Amino acid sequence: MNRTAFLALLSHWRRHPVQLVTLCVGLMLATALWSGVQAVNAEARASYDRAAADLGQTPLRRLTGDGPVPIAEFVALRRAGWLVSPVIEGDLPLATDSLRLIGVDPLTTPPRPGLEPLLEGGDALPRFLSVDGLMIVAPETAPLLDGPGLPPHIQSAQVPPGTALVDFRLAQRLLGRDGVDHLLVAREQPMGLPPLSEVTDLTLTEDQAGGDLAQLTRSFHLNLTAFGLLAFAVGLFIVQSAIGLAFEQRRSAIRTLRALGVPLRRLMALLAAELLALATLSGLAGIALGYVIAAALLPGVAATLRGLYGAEVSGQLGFDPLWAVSALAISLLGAAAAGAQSLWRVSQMPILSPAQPRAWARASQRAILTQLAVAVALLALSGALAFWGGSLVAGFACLAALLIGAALALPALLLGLLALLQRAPRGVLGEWLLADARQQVPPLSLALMALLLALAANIGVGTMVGSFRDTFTGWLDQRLAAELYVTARDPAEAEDLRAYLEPRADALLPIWSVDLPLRGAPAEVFGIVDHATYRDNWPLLDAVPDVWDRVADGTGVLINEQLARREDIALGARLEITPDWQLPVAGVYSDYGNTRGQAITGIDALSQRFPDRPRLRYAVRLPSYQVSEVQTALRADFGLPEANAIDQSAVKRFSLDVFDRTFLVSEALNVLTLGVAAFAMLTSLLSLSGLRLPQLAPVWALGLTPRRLAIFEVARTVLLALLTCLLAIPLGLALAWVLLNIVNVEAFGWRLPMTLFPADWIWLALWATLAALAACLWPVLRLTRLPAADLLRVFANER
Amino acid sequence: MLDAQNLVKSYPSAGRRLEVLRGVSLHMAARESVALTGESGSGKSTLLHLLGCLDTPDAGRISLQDTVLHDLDETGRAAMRRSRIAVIFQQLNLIPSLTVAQNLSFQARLAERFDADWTAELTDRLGLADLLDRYPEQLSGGQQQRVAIGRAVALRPEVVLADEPTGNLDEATADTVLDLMLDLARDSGAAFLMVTHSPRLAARLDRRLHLEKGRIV
Repeated sequence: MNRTAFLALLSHWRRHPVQLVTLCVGLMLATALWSGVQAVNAEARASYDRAAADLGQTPLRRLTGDGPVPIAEFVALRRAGWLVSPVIEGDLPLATDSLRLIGVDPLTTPPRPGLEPLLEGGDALPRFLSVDGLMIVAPETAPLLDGPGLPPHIQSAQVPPGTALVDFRLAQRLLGRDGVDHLLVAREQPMGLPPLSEVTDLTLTEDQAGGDLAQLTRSFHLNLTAFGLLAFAVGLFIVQSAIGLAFEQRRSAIRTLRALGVPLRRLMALLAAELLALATLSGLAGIALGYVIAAALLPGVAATLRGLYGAEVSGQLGFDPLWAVSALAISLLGAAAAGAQSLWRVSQMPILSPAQPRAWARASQRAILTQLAVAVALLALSGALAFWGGSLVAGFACLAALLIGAALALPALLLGLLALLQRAPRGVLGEWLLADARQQVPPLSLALMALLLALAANIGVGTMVGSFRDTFTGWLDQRLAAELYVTARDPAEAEDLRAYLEPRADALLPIWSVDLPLRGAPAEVFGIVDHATYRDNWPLLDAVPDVWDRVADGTGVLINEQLARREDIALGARLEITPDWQLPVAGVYSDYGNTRGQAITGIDALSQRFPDRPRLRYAVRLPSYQVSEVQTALRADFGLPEANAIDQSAVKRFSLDVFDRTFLVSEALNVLTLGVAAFAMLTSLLSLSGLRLPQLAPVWALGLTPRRLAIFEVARTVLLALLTCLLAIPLGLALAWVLLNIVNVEAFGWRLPMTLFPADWIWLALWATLAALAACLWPVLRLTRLPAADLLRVFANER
Repeated sequence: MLDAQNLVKSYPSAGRRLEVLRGVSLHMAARESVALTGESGSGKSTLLHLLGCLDTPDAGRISLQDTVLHDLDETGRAAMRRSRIAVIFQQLNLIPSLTVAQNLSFQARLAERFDADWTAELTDRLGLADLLDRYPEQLSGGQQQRVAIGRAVALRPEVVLADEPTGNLDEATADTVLDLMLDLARDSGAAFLMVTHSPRLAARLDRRLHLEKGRIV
């Protein structure tokens, strides 16, 4: 009995192959986008783990000083029996990028990932220690190192991308620095050692950096996951639409099977088994497609993470079986969720129910009003979370309630808009078009909801990125007021450069900084001179009246917005910079793109407390026509590398380039989501095209050609898409508001002003129209080619 | 008025062509009412579809007054349906998204021949005055058929073709509906052809044609 009944159910798909394809492709797309995003996240996390296992992230103790740690300190500690090992880190500019150099001493360093090749015998260790040196880099970094002047390299997959492990002496030479950054202190030390304080003046700190990257990038991955979830939900709309239609069309078959003696429970089990089989096949195809999408997205994500957080993520995608299994599970769960309603309907269907398929998903007015009531409740919840939420999770919950609420409200809003349009004067066909469009809203509502979400995501993310870009560009103009930025390779060269530049420049502004923890988190403290460059240009968000006087005389400190928001520091509050140095906060400035806290005070006050910090960087004010000439001279006379004398426009260009790359992934996901929404519309229109005949045939019989009917079909679809687009604009702006004022503030610590881009909306309306046109093209072509006999069959008495 | 000569029509069926009409000829005068009877599959509906410009014959000629119908392309046939020939079906006659009032005036407005007074008179005579704001799904079968009749004659067509318009109705309602159709067709000056299985109803029309295996006998 099972086999016979199952085959009878399956025969439906043979008669409706398009519906089968719709169901499978919908589930495949949903799984692909979700699992693709998850694969990207998993790869990024694997990279963080590798980075965390590296030197800078290992939770070891370290000895640091006010400035570079002299090698003599290392020697003294080793002689005293202390197991310490030197580490120096720095960025080495390359032709098109930079390389993170980590200098270690292979003979004293604790075991660490990446150094394995030195332990394998052979000549790797002698070469590593030799004068010429040897770099150990990740396979994806190797192609960047083909230029002249760099030591030879070998590869290890354990080294994070963009990083090179070298002998610390070679690092000193390449970075042009004396001493090292810190000394690692092994956890296990020999017995009977003299106290550290007797051997050295260096400070012992516990490294809190472990998992920093994972922590910093959490919000980014949450963002990505939210996008994946959105795409998954849009895909499930397609699946639910297809499953629902299939169940409706099989009402008569189901009734007959029951009448012939197949028990309801057996029938339900067979339907569930059919769904399980289809979901498994589609899920597997979705996983394969998801892997391809992830591989395509990963370079963009890597660029984003590098741009936003300085986190290096491998551009190569690995395959994790756990990922595949979880993706398949989510696919099956999604199919179950999409099919649950239909299965429930079958379970409730009386055996003597009408066999004629009802217009599927044609919700009654009451159902639409109920949906509207739920929508209003969700929108109210979203509003409440926006104003009283106060956390990142609340921010995302606010977004979810907003999007689901708006999607649920869509049918009622569209019906309202169409009713308004019906009041305007129109011809008989216009009247029919609008009335017909109203009738089509309920069965098309799932596809239209998918379109609404995709369009709103486009507007919301576009507005956020555009606002960010506008603010960032303006901020760069303010922040990068100096015409030239010069970095010396050592203190002696810094003195020479100063002497050279002083008579030529309008002003020479030192940029000296110290890395210090502020309120327990890593931060930078800068010292600046009193100059109009700062007074006139610095992007202050809030300040006391005499802010610059206070900063200049070292009686006040400026802090960046991130630090102020994270630690809830108000103007006038005292900020502890070191245990014996506290200053009142005199101003807060915007500092986009930086996740760390930052503070600025007078340079004299800073120098007095940190006299040994290297003073290598200068911002140079000079007439713009002299910039190129001075740059050339610096390179010629001092042999200064290009990267050490950068003009303002180059820095801006670089920053904006990083910015643009940062949001490449969002744009890619936007396009994919819109594509899925267009596919949802196509599948809905295709599914409905069979049910449309009884609605269109009377109009055809009354004297409209199939061609004119097709034109009206297109007009109706485009009208619904444009009205959806119209509603997507306020929703998208609300989404942007939440992103800018809640999610960004909670995730990054900065609040951005919102800028509107109406021209983008017009483009998006155009895209929505094109998506709707593309979606209705096939069903409409089928309509124009429909033989008269098919239309007449609608009226046939002897069917 | 309406003239058909030697109409032939066949359809592909299970790999071969099934001849439905095998040389049917008929003539109808203005205001004349004709019943077309025959067994299932005899070709009644096919003939009605050809006369109503809903389909084209494989061979033969059809003309209405001076207009040759069988040569018309889809646009020409649509224009005929829109303005000169009205068809009433047994079911699915109405446009589900429009109200009764909108359905009633739809075809006349489509043909740009809307006459408010005539439509108002039709509304009264058909007893639809209280139903104007309702949608088709909210009407009974008889009410739906009355709206379909009203829509057909509101146009003042030259020919009204009805394909078993009372097939779904009980006897009493069927009689009422037929009375209305005949009265209104006569008042609007139209020729009236009705396909029916019922000899009782067929007997009430001016003339009766019987189709058997694709031929009028």
